Amino acid sequence: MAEDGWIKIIIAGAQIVFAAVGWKIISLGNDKRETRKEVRTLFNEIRALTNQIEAKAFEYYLLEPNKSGECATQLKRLVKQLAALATTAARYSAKFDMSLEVATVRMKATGGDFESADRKPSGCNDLLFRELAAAVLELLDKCEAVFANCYPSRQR
Amino acid sequence: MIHNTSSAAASSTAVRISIASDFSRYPAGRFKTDGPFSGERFRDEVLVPRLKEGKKVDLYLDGTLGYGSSFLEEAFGGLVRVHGLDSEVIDRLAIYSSDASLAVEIKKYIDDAVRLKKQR
Repeated sequence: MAEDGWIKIIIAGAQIVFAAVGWKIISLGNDKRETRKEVRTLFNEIRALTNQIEAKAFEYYLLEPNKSGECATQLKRLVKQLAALATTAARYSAKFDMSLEVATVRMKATGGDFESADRKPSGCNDLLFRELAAAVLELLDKCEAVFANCYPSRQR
Repeated sequence: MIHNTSSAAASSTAVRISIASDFSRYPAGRFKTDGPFSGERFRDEVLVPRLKEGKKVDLYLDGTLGYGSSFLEEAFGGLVRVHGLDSEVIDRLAIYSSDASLAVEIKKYIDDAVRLKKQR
C-alpha cells in the first residue's frame, strides 16, 4: 500500500480513538452530574424527614401515654424511613455512612421512657427536644459536609 | 457479632430468630407492664432462653414496623445488666439487619452495659 494510504488509515484510527476517549470523558462527567443530583435529592429528603421526626416527637411527648400510641407508631416509622434513606446514601459511597448519626436521632427520639405506660407528658421546653434537635443537626451537618467534600462547587 | 443482612452468611448450625415472625411485627415499650411486645418480654422469653441453650443465635431485625430505642436498650442492654450474661454468651449472638444504624445502636447498649458491669 502506498505510504499516504497508511497515513490515512492511521489518522482515521486516531480520530476514532480520540472520539471514543472524548465520549468516555463526557459520559463520566454526565454520570458524575447525575449521581450528584441523586445524592442531593436524597439529602433533601433526609432533611425533610428529620423535620417530620422532630415535629412528631414534639407531638408525642406532649401527649398522655394512653393517647399517644398511634403517634409512637408514626414516630418509629419515620425513623425507620430515615434509616432506609441513610442506607441508600451509604450505597453511593462509604463516605455517606451515617449509621451513628441516625442511631443517635433514634435514641433521642425514642429512648428513655418512650412507649412507657408510666411516662409523664413533657413540657414544651423539655431538654429532650433540644437534644433531639442537636442530634438532627449533627446528621444534617454530616450530610452537607460529605456532599461538599465529594461534589465541591466550582469557584466563580 | 453484628452483621448487615447483605454481608456475612448466617451460620447453618445456629438458631434463627426473626423478631418480626417469631415475636411481633410491632415491638413496643421497655417493660412487660408497657405492653405485650416489650423489650423485656422479648429478652426474657425469646432471646435469653435461646442463648442459654449454648447454641449460636442468628437474630434478624428486618420486617417490623420499626424499633424504639427503649425496646432495644431493654432487650439487649438488659442481657448484661439484668441477666449478667458474659461476653462468651453475647459473642454467640449474630445480628442481621438491613439497617446499619440498628446494629450500631445495639452494640452501644451492650458495650455500655458491659462497661458499667466492670465498674461495679
